[in-house]
This record gives sequence, structure tokens and C-alpha cells, in this order.
Amino acid sequence: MTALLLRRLGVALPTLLLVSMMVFGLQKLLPGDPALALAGEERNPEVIEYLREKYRFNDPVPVQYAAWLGGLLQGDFGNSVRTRLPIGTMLAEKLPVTIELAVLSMLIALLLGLPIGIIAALRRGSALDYGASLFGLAGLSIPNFWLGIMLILLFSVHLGWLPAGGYVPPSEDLWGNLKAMLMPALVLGTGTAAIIMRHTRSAMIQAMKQDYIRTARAKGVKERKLVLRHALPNALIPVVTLGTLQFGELLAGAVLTEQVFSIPGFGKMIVDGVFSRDYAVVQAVVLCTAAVFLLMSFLADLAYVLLNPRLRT
Amino acid sequence: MTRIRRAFLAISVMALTIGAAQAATLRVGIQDDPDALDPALSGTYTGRFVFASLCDKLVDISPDLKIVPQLAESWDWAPDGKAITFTLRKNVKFHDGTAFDGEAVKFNIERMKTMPDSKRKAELAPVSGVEVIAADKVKFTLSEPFVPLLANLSDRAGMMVSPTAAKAKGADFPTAPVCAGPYQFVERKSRDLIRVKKFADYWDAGKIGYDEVVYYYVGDSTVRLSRVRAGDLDLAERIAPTDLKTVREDANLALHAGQGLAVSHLMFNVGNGEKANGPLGKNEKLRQAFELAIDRNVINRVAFNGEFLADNQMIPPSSPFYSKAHKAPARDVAKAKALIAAAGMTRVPVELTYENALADGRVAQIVQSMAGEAGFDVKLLPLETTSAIERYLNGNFEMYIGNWSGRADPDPTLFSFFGCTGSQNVNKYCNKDLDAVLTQARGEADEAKRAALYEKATDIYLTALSSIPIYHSNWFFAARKTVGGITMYPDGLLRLSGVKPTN
Repeated sequence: MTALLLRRLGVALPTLLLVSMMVFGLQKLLPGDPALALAGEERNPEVIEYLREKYRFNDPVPVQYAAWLGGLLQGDFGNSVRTRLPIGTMLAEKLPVTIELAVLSMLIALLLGLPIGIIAALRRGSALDYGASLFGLAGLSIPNFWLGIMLILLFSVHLGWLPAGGYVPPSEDLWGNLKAMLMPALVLGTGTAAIIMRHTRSAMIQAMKQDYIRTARAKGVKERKLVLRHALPNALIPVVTLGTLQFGELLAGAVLTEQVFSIPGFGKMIVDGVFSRDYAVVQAVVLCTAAVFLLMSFLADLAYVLLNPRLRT
Repeated sequence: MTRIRRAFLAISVMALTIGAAQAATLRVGIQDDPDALDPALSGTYTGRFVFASLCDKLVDISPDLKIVPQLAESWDWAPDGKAITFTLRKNVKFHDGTAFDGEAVKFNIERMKTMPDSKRKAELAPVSGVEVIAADKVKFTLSEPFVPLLANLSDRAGMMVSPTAAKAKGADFPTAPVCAGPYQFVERKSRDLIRVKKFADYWDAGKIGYDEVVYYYVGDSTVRLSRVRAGDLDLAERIAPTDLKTVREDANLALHAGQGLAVSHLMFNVGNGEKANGPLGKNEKLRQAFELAIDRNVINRVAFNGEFLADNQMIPPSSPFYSKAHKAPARDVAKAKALIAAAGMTRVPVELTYENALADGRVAQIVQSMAGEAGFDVKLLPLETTSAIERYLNGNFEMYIGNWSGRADPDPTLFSFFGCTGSQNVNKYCNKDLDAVLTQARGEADEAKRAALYEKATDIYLTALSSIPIYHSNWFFAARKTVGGITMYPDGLLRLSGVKPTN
């Protein structure tokens, strides 16, 4: 286990370094002068030049990168050039929000996707299976922002049951937090649930055709045990891979949902960072997301080991 | 059963008491996350929106665009227009308890003039010195007569921050600004909310209606409105014209509308680099033909449901310096075609660059279609904002949809765009006569004489048409009916003095 951890860490650090270099380099390819974006409507050339100097926009890219990396190694993400707020604090505020949203969405996705996928596989061709396919198709094709606005209109404006958006930290009000997160998590979760459902269904169909299932059945293993103990763990391996990748996407790709429900998470932060050329913010968010992604794939590896005894050495 | 009923009653009473004891909070939805919360550095509308509760200014504007006292009770211009003496309000305190006096004013003006990345340098450029005459009297010396100074001081350049806090915090000042407004800063969660609370020692404390105000960043205007309808927010700024019907039909909401100062215009590159060499850049008759080819009312109707104000001038009709003599010409395709023919052409090609936002995109398409009927082949070039602005500043465009926020005084608009050295004169239009008129107007304290000068200026710029103004946007706020005392101002900022819960 320790060896696995060390091996993973050995891969993770260079990966993060590479990611940071790529983001840094790619951002410099963006058209538009960040100093101009900062100076705003009053375009005083002196001020623009001062900003270029202050934020080192005039320095060669490798020098800028080295300065940024130097700060990072001392735990300093720098300040947002737009709001002048420390980025470390911004991350500390946003990361828990994004993670909570991703975890809740994943929970909803698993609670919906797994059982529906399993049942659809076992009752292939039945009305239930067709219903599940319909759910899958709808989940994949309904745009998040549309579903979000419809849910707001129904549950907030007409029924008044849930807040239409915003975020309440769980430390302040746990119930309020859950109420605020329910709709966004549902919107994100249904899309992911559809993907998980489809994969679970096909993986289960494959698993149920295997020889060991026929053997087990011939030996008189009860159907319930057959599905849950024999078929499911094997079917779950590709689903775990998929689930971790999806989780990573939930972390980075919830821009529209965040926008609709005014959730102060990572997605909007990075998009606005790109538009206002707030390089340091984009850097920090991408790096953070990459780190969480790596962590997730490490956890996925651990899950494989748990699911598949042959991987335990 | 009785026991259950009694328990239920007790809980209800408790809930009611808690409700009554709860502080009155005003929850406001704003469209953008404000930038640095320091009047010297701020460059966004939502920043100013928040400052309206945090930072009082030397002077303010009234809803009809007159300059009225705020932290300065009165002022006197020197006869030659090169100095102005302010008498300051007494017993005013900053949120940290520091007294507001002449020294504080001097500190603030010097801070905005000398801070390297200050965005107020241009607005305060004519101020050459500040002298403290007494604790409540301060004199500004100007390098030239400059009447628009008061209008500049009614915005961020006139916002006073606590010298004690500014010195102590240095570069960290924007993380927790300290001013002398009705509400004081509590916390800011980046990209989420800004919380301010009632400042008990405010000089006009009787007009503070809420214990706390929270500004929530809600980017999408439809979502902002949904949250007001659901009761999650009490007020939302900048409601989209397409959503106004919903507000009007909702019995719980009130629509607050007001004329704005902003202008959207088609700017032609007439003298900046290669892109100025197109037919429209070279020939003012063709630009006049272009104006005749478009119908401003159609643009307003199609793009904005007719809720904005179609107009042909850079300053809005609400300004006392608006020229009533210069009416917007009606669309006349035949005349436009005749002008094109007179220039020896049949089709006139032009490229229209704009920031790829919904409103500008619609306007661009309508302009393209209307101008096409008269003989203009308009090619559309939508660009992401920062890239578009860079091209704008470098004069790398033939025609550009400009959106200017406007100012209380006509000078910062007209001189910036049409003065030969104006900061927004990126299309390099220069007319010595117009320059002379605009410079003279800057020094003219008499309103009638000043209006006459701007009349003349309007005549010149509307003939040259280096920019064709199209419309002025209006301000629309949606608020729940529980919020009373809202007054709309041309600058679109919500002043919280007098805003109170109705119940």
C-alpha cells in the first residue's frame, strides 16, 4: 500500500508541474492585454504601464512562471489582480463548496444510476428497461441550465419550498445548506446518473453472461446473491473508472449550474478569470482541480483493489 | 391532544418572536462581482453600486442631475474659476472612528492623484493643490478653470476613505474598506457576497432603514429576477428589458425604472492607422448616409422591447445640456442611396467589430440588415471582450459598437470622445473648432452659456459623425414591495439613505 502511495505521489508531482506549465503557457497565448483589461474605462497610459510592471506582464514568460512557482512553493498563490483579494483565501472559500456540490451530485447520480442500471440489465427488454433508457436519454439530452431554471420556477417561485439559489455554509445552517444544494445537485446528478446507468446496465449484461455466473447458478446460488456478490463487483470496475472521471468533471465543469443557482464555486471563478485575464486565479484553480483529479484517480485505484481480490498482493 | 396543541402553540409563538427580533436585512442581487473595493482603484459599475452604501462623497447628484451637498455642505468657486473652497459637514466620522475633516480631504485627493495605479488621475488632473484652511474648510486650486470637477467629485473621485485605515492597511485596503457612508464593511466572500452593516455614528443615521445589507453576486439577469420572485432577494439591479413583463405582472414586485446616462454608439475609425482608410472612415457624407440607413426605433424595439431610449446624441435627454434642436433624423433609404451614389459608389463595404455580448450582437445584426438595404455591406466581427477592447484601443477597427457608461456632466463624455486629446478618442477624430468649444465649456460656470456652447458642439459632432449615437439604456430594478423609499438616479446606483422596509 505504501509503495502504491509513493508510486502515485511520484507521478502526481511531475503531472501537476506539467499542468501548471501548460496552463501558464496557454494563457499567454490568449489575445488581449491583461493590463488594459485591468485599467478599465479610464485608460491612462501611465497607469497601464505601471500595471504591466507591477504584475510582471513585461517579463519573459519563463521569468513570470518562475516567480509564480516560487510564491507557490512558499504557499502563496498571489492576489487576484482584479479584486486584490488573496487567492489562497478565495480557494479556501470555493473548494469546499465545489466539493460539496460534486459529492452530493455524485451521491444522487449513484443512488439513481446504479439501481436503475442493474434492474434494467436484469429485466432486459421489459417496460422497466425501456423506461430506464428513456431516463438515460432525457438525463443526457436535457440541458442543465434549462432544467435548473424549470426547477427554480417550480420549487422556488411557485411552490416556495426551496431557495432559488445562493449558498449557505453548513457550519452556519446545515438544513439551509442542504436545501440550497438540493436543486443544483439534482440538476448535475441526473446528467451523471444517466451516464452511470447506461454503463452499469451494459456492464451488468456482460457480467451476467459470464461462465462463472452460469456455474454459480447451476450450483444453486440464489439469484439475489448471484447478482450482488458475483456479477455486480465485476460489473462495477468500469463503472468506478467512469465514476471518478465524472467526479472530476463535476469539479471543473459545473459552470452553467453554478451560474443558474448562483453557487460560488470553481466553475464560474475560472471562466471569469479567463475573461478578465486574471492569470493567477486561473492558474490556482486549474492546479487545484488537477490535484483533486489525481487524488480521485488514486482513490479509484484503491477501489479496484477492494473490488478485485486478484489485484491485492 | 391538548398537550400537542399547546406545544405547537408555544413553538409558533417562539418562531414569531425570533422572526420579530431578527435584524432587518436587505438582500440585493448584483450582476458582476465588483473589483477592488477602493474608490481609487475601482473600475466597475457594481463596485460603485456597493460604494453607494459604504462611501459618502464630497458632493452627490440629485435625480435631475444637479450637484447637491453630501460630505461638503457648500462650496464657492473663485471668480476666475481656478479655485473652489468647500465647507465640510461637521461631526462626521469614518467607520473606524477617525474624524472627517479638511486634512482627510487633502489626504484623499492626494492619495488618488499619487497612487501609482489610481484610476482617478484623469478625473482629478486639473486639481493642482489642496489647502486646508480650517478643520471644516478646504480649498482646491486648479491649473485651469474646470467646472466638471464637481460632477467628478460626485463619483469615486469624491469618495472619502479613512486616512488612518488607508495608511495602516496599505495595499490591503480593498480587502476591508473604511469610509464614511451609512453602512460599514463586514465581510466579503469573493464571487459570492459582500456584507455591510448599519453605521450607528453616521451623520444622517435617521435615514438608515436596515441593520444589514448583503450584496449577492448573481450573474444572470433572469436568475436574479427569479430569486427576487422567490423571495430569496429583496432587490435585483439591471433587469433585462425582455423580463420586464414578468416584473410588471407579479403582484409582489415593483419595477423601478429610470433614465440612464449611458450611450451606445457606432464609432468609425476616421484617423487611426490603416483601418481608417475605408470609404466610411474617409467620407463624412457616407457616414451621414449610414445614419439615414438605420432606424434607431427599430433597433430599440427589436433588441430591447422598446424599453430603452432611441436617440442621436452622446448625452441623454435628462441632461440640462442636451440639445433639443438636434432631433434624430428619420430613416431615409432613398436619401442614403443618393448620398452613396454622389460619392461615386454603389456598394460600400465596412467591418463592424463588437464585444460578443447578447445586446451588442442583436444590435449588430439589425444594423447589418438595415444598412444593407441602403447599400452598405456590413461584415460582422464579434470578439471576446478583452480582445475586442484591445483592438478598440489600438484603433484596429473600421466601425465599433461602443458602450460608454456616461457621466453626470457632459464634459467627460464629449471631451473624451471628441476632444483631440480625449482619452476615448481612439478613432483619432480631431476638429480644432470643436476642441476650442469644448475647452471653453469646461471653464464656463454659467449654465445657460455653457448649454449654448454644448449646442454648438453637438452641431459639429453630429455633422462629422465620427460616432453615430444609437440609444441610451435605462435602469430597471425589480424589488419586492416590502422595500420602500427607492429613488432612481441617472447613474443607476442604489442610494440607501431613506430605503426602509415598508412593514
